[in-house]
Amino acid sequence: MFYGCYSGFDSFSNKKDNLKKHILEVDGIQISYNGKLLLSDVYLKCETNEIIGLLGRNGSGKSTLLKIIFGLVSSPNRCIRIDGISKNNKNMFSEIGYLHQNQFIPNHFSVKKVISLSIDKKEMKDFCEDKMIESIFEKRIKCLSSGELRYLEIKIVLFNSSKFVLLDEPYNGLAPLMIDIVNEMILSNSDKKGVIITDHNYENVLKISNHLVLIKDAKTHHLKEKKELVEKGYLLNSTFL
Amino acid sequence: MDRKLLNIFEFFKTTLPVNLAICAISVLIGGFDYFFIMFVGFGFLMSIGFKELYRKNDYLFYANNSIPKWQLLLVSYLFTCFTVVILGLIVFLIRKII
Repeated sequence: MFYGCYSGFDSFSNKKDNLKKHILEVDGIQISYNGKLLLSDVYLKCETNEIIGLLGRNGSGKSTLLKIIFGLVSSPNRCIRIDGISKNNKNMFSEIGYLHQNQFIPNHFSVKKVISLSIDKKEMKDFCEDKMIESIFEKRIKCLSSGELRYLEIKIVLFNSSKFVLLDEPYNGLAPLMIDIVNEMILSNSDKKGVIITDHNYENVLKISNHLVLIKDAKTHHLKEKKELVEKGYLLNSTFL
Repeated sequence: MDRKLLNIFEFFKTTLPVNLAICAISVLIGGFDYFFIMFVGFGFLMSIGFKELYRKNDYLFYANNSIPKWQLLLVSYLFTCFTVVILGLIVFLIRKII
């Protein structure tokens, strides 16, 4: 683990070892758009407790990869395994949560309704003990600001019963203070789940991830050092690393 | 009630406005008996078509609650059929009484 910003990582390690670990493996994904190969040589492995930061330039295929993993986009030779069991022809909605880059909670619901439909009763108290959730609890979804809505969506995806969570541009519309709160939430939930996160706000992705993957030239590159982001042409210089 | 069933019931409720609008038009044109056929047929199809065009992301909400699209559509259709049976029974009883 070389991305050392998660200071609490070691202190939690003993507690985490007692929890059941799950492994998500993604392999053999190939997809083209308009004759151009978008993804061809992809291998991803995510375990409970792990936060994988998925980076890449615009149009490199990050969101498409997450959609393929979740099953929204089909890919002919995709091979997805959870705990060694192939899930190719099954829906994985009970095992994987997915935060879409755009709004996915229907506008006609109230926040209260959304929470009651998405969160288990035993998790409800834990979920609602939150200043932000308390302040929007009685509101309708269409009355929320984009930041409040994004926060609610992230929290709902992180608190559902899935083993893995795919976060596509979670920081969209969030103020800096909210980003810190969301980062804390992702970190505290990663002891029960594996997380794959992609966002153009790479500084925050670097801050919370303990494994980095760069998509370049349709391939996944597993990075050992942050400086490889510069070497592989994702960043121009290492000032912000 | 089971949380999954509640989710599907909420989805079913969202199919009603378009479905009922189609049914209302058909009742105006063809008479009340068309209501039942339209409600379980064309009206339901149109409400799903409307969702496909304008509310596609709504399916992600249900997917995150572990409900695939085919399950939503199938169980919603069963709810629609059940509603028609209940409505038909009520109409039949009212006609009998009158």
